[in-house]
Formats: sequence, C-alpha cells, structure tokens
Amino acid sequence: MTLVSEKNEVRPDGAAAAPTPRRPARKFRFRVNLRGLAFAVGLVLALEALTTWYVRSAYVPRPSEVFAALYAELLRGDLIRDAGQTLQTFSLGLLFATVAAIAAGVVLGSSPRIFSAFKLIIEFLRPLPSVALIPFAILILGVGGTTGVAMTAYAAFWPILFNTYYGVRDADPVAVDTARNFGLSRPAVLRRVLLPSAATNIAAGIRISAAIALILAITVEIITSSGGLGYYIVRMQTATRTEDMYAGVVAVGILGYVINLAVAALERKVVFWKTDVRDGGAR
Amino acid sequence: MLGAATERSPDRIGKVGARTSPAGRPTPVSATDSSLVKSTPGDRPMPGKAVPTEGLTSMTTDLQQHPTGRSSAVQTPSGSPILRVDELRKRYSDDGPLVCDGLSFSVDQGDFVAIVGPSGCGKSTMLRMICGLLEPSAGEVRLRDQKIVSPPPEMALVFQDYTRSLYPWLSVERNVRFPLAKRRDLSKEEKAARVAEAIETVGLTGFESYHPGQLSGGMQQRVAIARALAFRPRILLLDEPFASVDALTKEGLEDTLLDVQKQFADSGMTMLLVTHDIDEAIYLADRILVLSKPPCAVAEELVVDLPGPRSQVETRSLPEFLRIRAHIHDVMGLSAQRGGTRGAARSTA
Repeated sequence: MTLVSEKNEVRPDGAAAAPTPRRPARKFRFRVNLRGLAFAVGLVLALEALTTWYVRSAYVPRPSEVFAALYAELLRGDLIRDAGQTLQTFSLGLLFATVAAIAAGVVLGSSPRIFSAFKLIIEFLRPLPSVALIPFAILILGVGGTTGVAMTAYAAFWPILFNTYYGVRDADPVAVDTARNFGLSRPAVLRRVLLPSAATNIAAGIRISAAIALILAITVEIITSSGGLGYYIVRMQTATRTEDMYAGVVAVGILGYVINLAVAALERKVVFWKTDVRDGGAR
Repeated sequence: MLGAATERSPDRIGKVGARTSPAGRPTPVSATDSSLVKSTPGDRPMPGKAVPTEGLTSMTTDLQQHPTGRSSAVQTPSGSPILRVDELRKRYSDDGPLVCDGLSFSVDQGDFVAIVGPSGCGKSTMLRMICGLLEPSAGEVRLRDQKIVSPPPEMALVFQDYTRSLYPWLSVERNVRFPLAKRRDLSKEEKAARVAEAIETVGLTGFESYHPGQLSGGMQQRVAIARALAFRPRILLLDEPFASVDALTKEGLEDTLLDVQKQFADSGMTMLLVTHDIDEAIYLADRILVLSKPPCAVAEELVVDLPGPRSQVETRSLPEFLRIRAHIHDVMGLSAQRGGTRGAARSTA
C-alpha cells in the first residue's frame, strides 16, 4: 500500500464520504400511542359500565353524559369563551414569568455576589405555596383578571428562574473561554454563549412552569369567581349541574394536555441539539 | 532575569540545548561526547547517574550537524520574537501549590513549537496564561513587546475538548463564522469567503449545514481548527488538540495541521502545540520545549531537524526521529525521577 492511499484511508471522515446536507430532526413526528389510547378508551368504558349498573348517584354522572354535556356546552359557546379566558390568563402569566425569570436568572447566574445577596429571600419565597398568596393578591389587585395573571406569573416564575440560574452558572467554562479567546465582550458572551447554553435548562423550566401556571390560573378563577374555566366549574357545582361541572373538568384536562404537547413541541424545535447529543452523535 | 530561550542571540537560535534551572538561570552545559550518541533507543542510561546530563548535550550537538530541513523559519532573522514568555509563575490560591515556576521561552514568527511535559504538569494552565484567559501570579507574556492582559485578537486557541468548545446549537458553518461575527471591518462576502476557505482547509466542504452533534469526534475537532483558522490568528495555540480522537484520525489531523501551516506560511502563522505525546511533538514541530514535572518550567529545549515534507510512515521511522524520541524520554524520565537534583547539577557546573 502506498503512502498516499494510506493517507486517504486515514481520513475517511473527511471529504471522502459524499455528504448529503441535512438539518437535524426538527420535525415534530406525531405518533399515535395505540396502546395508551386503547387503555384510556377501555377505562372510560369500564367507568361507563360501573356508573350505569352499580354506582347510581346524581353526583357521579356517566361518562357518556359528561361528554354529551361537554359537546352541548361547546356548541353553546360558553365553554369556549371560558376556556379562552383561562388560556389568556395562563399565557400572559407564563409570558411575564418567562421574560422576568430569564432576565433575573441570567443576572443571578453570571454573578455569585448578586446571587448571594438575593439567596436568602429566594430560599424563603420559593417553598412558600403560591396559592397561600392569593388572598393577599386579591387585597392588592382586586378580583379582576390582573390577580389571575399576577399569581400565575408569580408561581411560574420560580422554576424558570432556577433553571436559568443553574443553566447560566453551570455553562461550560471551555465554551465561555472559547468565546473570550475570540475577543467577545462580556455582554456578547452572555448573549451568544451563556444564554444558548442555558436554553435546554430554560426550556425544561418552562415546561414545569406551564403546568404550575395552569393550576394557578384555575385556582384563582375558583377563588375569585372572575370567569374562566375555574369559575365555570364552581358555577356548575353550585347549580348542581353535575354533568356540566365534569364537562368543565374534562375541558381543563384537555387544555392542560394540549398545552403540554405545545410546550414539548416548542422545546424540541428550539433546543434541537439536545436530542442530537443524546442520539449518540458526540458521546 | 532571563531564561535560556530568551538569552539566545539570533544567529544561535535553536542551536543550543541549554538547561534551565528552577530559578530560570541558564545553565551552560559543556559539549562533551558520550555513549548516548551511539546508544539505541532501548538502551537507556540509568536514571540517577550523571550520564544523561552529558548525553543531553551530545544529543543537541549531534542535532546541529543536520542544518537542513524544514526549520528555515527558525533561522530567519526576524528581529524580536513574536511571543516572549518571561518568568511565568502561577498559584491558584495563596496557600495553593505552585503550578508554574519561572516558565521562560520565546517563539519566533512562523515557528512550529511543541511543548511536551508529563500530564498534570501545568501545560494547560500555562497556555491559558499565554492567551490571556488566566492572569499569572508573577511574570508576564509579551506579544510583540505588548504585555498580554486580555485575550489578544492575534491568538486563537484550539481546546482538547471539542465537544465542549464547539457550540452545539450552531451549524458547522456558523460555528466557524462565530469569531467573525462582531468584526465590522469585514464585509459579509469576505466573512463567507474566509469561512469557506477555513472549512475547505480542514476538508469539511459539504458539511456546512451539519451540527456538531451529527459529526464524529475527528470531524468536530476539524471544525474547531477551522474556526480558529477563520479567525486568522498570528499565533495558533493548540491545547492537546488530538488527545480525544482515535489514533488514525489523529494522524490525519496532524497532517491537516502541517498542511495548514504550509498554506498559511506566507502570512507567517506561528503554531504553539501543547501535548503529552512525544511522537506527535517531534513529527509536527521545528522546536520542542520539554517541561519538567510540576511546578512546570522549561527543562530543555531542542531543535527538530527532520527533513520535510514529513510523512507519517517515513518520518516516524527515521533514525533521527527515534533518537530525538529516546532523548526526550530520557529528559522526561529525568525530571520525573531526579526532580530534586537539578539544583545539584547547577552547582557542579
């Protein structure tokens, strides 16, 4: 074997292989989980049988009645309007929380001194259940939509804050040194290296916060009777329209499920490289 | 107080194998003949005897007899060196151990200098201080007589850990363009041309839209090298660049590096390679600095006068190559096992 051909073999990863440019898998592949679907349908059917023949109570309607009520309410438009209001409170709250928490997390993560100044107050506020602050928020902000957005934002703030903080603080020093070596200023390093490095953490924080934000949005609606799906559920409960109450619960469940799907899809799209790495490209 | 490297007169650059004492004072070594010249690589002198010290000298004098080869860059009279490292010391904390102790050497423009030393001897610390990422506890680094206090725009560093130094959220093309992003003096077309040239130099044309996670380790390190090249540094610093790739890929990357130096030769790109791999150092470099065990200091400096162009199989089997290799092994073995006796050697000189 001549030296030249050996050198060619030495670099099979170079230009030798005809490359076919491709982007990383960003497509959201929708696969129906057949097994899970079958189990869910079976469970509903079992519940139907149970409520038809064994449990006969005005407070436990049959699933078929609940779905019929849901359908009727959807047609009437009430449920849609209420769901829209809940979604608005949820979205605004999560948006404010995301913006504020990322900004605060970046500041805390890039300066140990600032973090130590805020540490005590953060450690105190974090374990405090957000719902305990709802009465306080009502006193300050009244029973309007503002309270809902504020409480949702407050509760959703913490997971994103901590995830951003750890993401920025634990950014790879080699990645940071690389950028500094190329003469990037501190703000540039922050924007172009620290923030993208923390993106996987931030996305995880937002996913956790989305679930919490929905809890708070519904809770505030239940307590303040200010409209939305939470208030719908309370209203139907007071009117003992049990089927409609359950329809409201199912609607909240569907809303939560859709939100989770959307956040997960967004996460896959934005921090696509995370799955790249996990798929075994690098390690 | 200057180290051996900085005290050389221009016409003697690279020809003297002087040893630096821990304090940084040059220790003249007399050129005497010894058995080492005739000995085979497997026939190493016993550590603890006086022979290796003499062997050192004869080794370097022997090297002098081969003035041909690729080391022309070393001999060009270029006035003051491009890089001067002077009495560098580093302690990470006040009561911490000394990592670097009086490190001194200088590098001329266009040189390919390799720095070898036992693992954990503070090579990476030294490199971080040289490129301005880490502040030395004492001493200074001068780039063209300018003291380095922050990363200068004339240096680029290639890290060992490509998985950590490449940005996984950027494509190959954007990773390579990364250091050019804030350069306002370059037009969009100029940047694109530079990026394309750098990618072509490392043989990754066609992979521009890939992301690092989709590439093999060797290819990722090529991306890191291309990124440094697009930056067009005067000095390219390489910190164990091939330590995390397999042996075959490593040989390919070494040749890439030699090609790069050839291609950028007219711009006088200076290479400073830090490695623990003695063979790699001999194969690539014109000049080798051997570091002592920690705290690191330059234990020896020698010129590699191997004929070019170098090739993986032929160059590595040259008797000259093997002799240098055996010699560095001796020096490193010396500094590992007889670390305390260097002072004694000085007092007898």
